[in-house]
Amino acid sequence: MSVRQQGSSLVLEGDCPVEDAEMLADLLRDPSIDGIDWTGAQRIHTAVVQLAILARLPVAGPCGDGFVARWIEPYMVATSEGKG
Amino acid sequence: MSDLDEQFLSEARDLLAQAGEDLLALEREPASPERIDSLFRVLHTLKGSAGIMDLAPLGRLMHAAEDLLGAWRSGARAPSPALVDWLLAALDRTDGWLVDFEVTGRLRDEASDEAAALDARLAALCGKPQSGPAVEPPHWAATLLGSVDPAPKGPVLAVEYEPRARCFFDGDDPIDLLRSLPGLIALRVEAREPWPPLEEMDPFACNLRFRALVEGDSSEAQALFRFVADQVRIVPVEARRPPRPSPTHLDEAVIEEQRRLVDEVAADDEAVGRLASAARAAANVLRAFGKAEEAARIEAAGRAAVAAGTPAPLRAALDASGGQAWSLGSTALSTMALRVDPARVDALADLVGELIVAKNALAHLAAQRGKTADAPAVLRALEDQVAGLDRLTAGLQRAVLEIRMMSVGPVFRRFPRVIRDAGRSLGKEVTLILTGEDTELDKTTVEMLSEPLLHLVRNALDHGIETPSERVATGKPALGRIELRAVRSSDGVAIEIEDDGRGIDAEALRRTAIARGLLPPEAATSLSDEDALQLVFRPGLSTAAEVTDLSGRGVGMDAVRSAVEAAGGRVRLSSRPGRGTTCRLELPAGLLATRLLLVRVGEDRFGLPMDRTAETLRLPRSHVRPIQGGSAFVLRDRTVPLVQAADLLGRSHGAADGDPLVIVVAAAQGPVGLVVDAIEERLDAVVKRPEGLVATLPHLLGTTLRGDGQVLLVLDPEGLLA
Repeated sequence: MSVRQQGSSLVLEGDCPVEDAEMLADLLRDPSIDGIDWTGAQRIHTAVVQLAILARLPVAGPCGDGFVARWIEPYMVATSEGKG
Repeated sequence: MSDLDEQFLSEARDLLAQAGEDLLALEREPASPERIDSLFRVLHTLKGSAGIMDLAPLGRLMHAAEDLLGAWRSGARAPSPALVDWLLAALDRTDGWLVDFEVTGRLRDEASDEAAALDARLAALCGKPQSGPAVEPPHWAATLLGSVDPAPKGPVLAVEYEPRARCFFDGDDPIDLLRSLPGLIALRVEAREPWPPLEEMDPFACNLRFRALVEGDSSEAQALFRFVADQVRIVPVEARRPPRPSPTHLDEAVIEEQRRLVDEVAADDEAVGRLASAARAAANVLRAFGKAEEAARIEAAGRAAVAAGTPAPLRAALDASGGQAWSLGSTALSTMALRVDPARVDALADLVGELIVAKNALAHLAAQRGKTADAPAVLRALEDQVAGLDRLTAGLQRAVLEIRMMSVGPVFRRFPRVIRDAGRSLGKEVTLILTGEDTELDKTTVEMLSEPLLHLVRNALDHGIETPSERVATGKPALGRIELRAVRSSDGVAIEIEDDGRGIDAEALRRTAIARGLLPPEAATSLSDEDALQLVFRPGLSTAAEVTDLSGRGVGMDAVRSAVEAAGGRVRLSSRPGRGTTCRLELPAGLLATRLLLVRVGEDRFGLPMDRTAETLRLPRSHVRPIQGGSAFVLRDRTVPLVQAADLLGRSHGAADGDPLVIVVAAAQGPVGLVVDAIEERLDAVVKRPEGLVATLPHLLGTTLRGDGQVLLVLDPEGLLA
C-alpha cells in the first residue's frame, strides 16, 4: 500500500500508481487530515500529484520523486501558504 | 449551420477516415499504387473543399501533404514511419479543425500557426531549411522566460501540454512524459478549469495544464509528444521577445494588455486583486467603445475568476473578445451523422401514407356517430380501425428504429491506428483482425461503444499481449493477435475483443477480492473460475496495488461495464491463462422494448428486466436456512443467498407468513434470490434512462410509462445486489 494515514497526516511511499488516486481522494476527504508527507515516495503518477495540488495542504518535502520535488513542489508550497 | 457547411463536414470526415485507412495500408504495403492514388484523391478533394469553404490553413496543410505524396508516387522520396507519422498528425489536426468548424463555424485563430508548424516539421523531416513566417510565441512564455536564471543561451521552445480529461484512462501519465523532456528549464503546472471541491473531484479526470520552456530543438520534443500531438503545442521562443504586431484599435490594445497581465497572474500570488482590476479595466474600455454586452461578460468572468482563484475564466473571456486567442482546440464530441438508405425512408413514407388513410377512416366513423342506428356495426368498424392502427404504429416504430441503425464500421476503423501507435510505444507487434464491420446497431449504441472498446483494446494490448521475446519463449508466434468482431446474436449484437496474450488468473482475482474485502473468503472460493473472472468489472478491485499483474486492468473495467449496461447490454469476460482473453459485449440491436416482470414490494410496484432474472419460484419456508446473519437456500446443489427486496429498497415488509416468493437474479457474483411480495404481470416497454430527480435514486435502470399513465420504476437487479 503506497498511501496511508499516520496521525493527521497522509504518507505517500514508494511508487504511487494511478490506482492510488482513488484511495488518496477518499483519505483527503477526512477533514482531520492536515498535511501530506511524500518524502518517501519514489515515482508518483500525475493523478496522485493532481490530488495533492488540489488539496492545498501543507506538504512535508522534499518529495522523494526528484522530478516532482524539482518542478512541482515549489508551486505547491506557494499555493498552500497563499491559501493558508 | 448551412447545408453547404453540413455537407462539407460530413464529406470531410469520410475523406479523413478513408485517408487514415489508406495511410495505414500503405505503411504495411508501401508500393500499393491503388492506395497511393486513393490517398492522393482524398487529399486533393480536401484541398479543393478548403478552397471553396475559404479555409486557408486547411488548404495549406493539404497542399503540403499532397506534395509529399507526389514525391512518394514519383519515387523521389520513400515512405518512412516518420513521414507516415507526419501525415497522421496532419489528419489529426484536420480532424480537430473540423470539430472547431462544427462548433463555431470557422477554424480556431491559431489554425494558420498550426499549419505552419506542421509545414516546418515536414520541412525538417525532409531536410529542407525552414521557411515561412515564424510562429508567434504564446504570451506566458515571456513571463516564464524571465524567471529562468541564468538566461538560456541557445534556442528555446515553449511547450504547452493540456492532457485530455480522460487521459489517465488511455494509460497516459503526463508528468511521466515530461520527465523525459530533454532540456527542461522551466515548468509551470496549473488547473485547466477552476478546481471543483475535493468532494466532487473525479480522481481519474485530469484537470492540469503544463507550460514548459525547453532548451533545444523541436524534433526531440515533437518525437516525445507524438502520441499526444493533439494535446501539445510547441512553438519556438526567441530569447528576446519580438514586439507583437500592434493592435489596430485602442480597445484591442487595452484588452491585449489585460490579457498579458492575466497571464502573469499565477494561481498562487496576489491573484485576486490583479484579476479584479484586469477585469475592471477591460470592461471599462469596452463600455467606452459602446460594447456594453461584452463588458458585462468580462465582468462576470472576472468575478468567476476571483471566486475560483484562477485566471482561467477571465482569460477565456478576454480571448473570446477578439484578437489572438490561445486555446488548445475544443474537446467537444462530434456526433456521427446518419446515412440513411433511401429505401428505408421510402418505407417510412409509405407507412405515413397508410396512417393518413387510417386517420381518414376514423374521421369517417366519427361522422357516422348519431347518423346511423347500427351502433354495433360502428363499434365493430372502430375495433377494426384500432387493430389497423396498432399494426401501423408498430410498423412505424420499426421503420424509425431501422433508420437509426448504423454499422459499427466507423468505430472499428479507428482501431488499426490505435493498435499501431500504442503497439509501437509499448514495443509490441500485433495484427488486428476486424470482422463484421457491417453489423448494424442503434446510433446511440454505436456512439457509446467507442470509449469502452478503446479501453478494452488498449487493455488487450497493454496487459494481454506479451512482448515478442516473452511470446517466443512460451512457444507463441512473436506477432500477437487481437481480434475485434461484431456478430449478430439471437437477441441483438455481440461484440468480442479477443487477444492471444497471457490471459487472466482467476485465482489471483479471488485473492484480491478477499484481500480488498469485496467478498467473504467462502463466497470467493465458491465462485467458479468463470464467475471469478467477472470480478474485474467490480468497482474497487483494481485499487489493489499489490496485484501488479492486474494493475490498470481495473481502472475503467467498471466504467466499461456501466457504459454497456446503460445501453441495455451486458459484458462478460472469459480467459484461459497463457492462451488469451475474450471480452464479450452483448448489446441490443435497436432501441427495442424490454420485457419487464412487474413485481410488488410492500405497497409499491417495480419493473425487473426479464433478461436479468433466471427464474421465479415459491420457496417452501422450511428450505430457508440461516447463514452468517442472513439466509440462503439450496438450488440444484448450489447455495443461493436470499435477500429481501423490501430491505434493499427501504420498504416495510409484507406479511411474513407463508412461503416466500423468490426471483433468482443472475448477478455478477452468482445467483441471488430476491424475495418479493407478489409477481403481477409481464409487459413490454421501452425503458428510458433515469433523468432529473429520478436519476438520483439508486439501483434504478430507468423508468417507463404503464398503460394507465403511471410511471413505473425499473430496477437494476445487479446494482441492487452489489
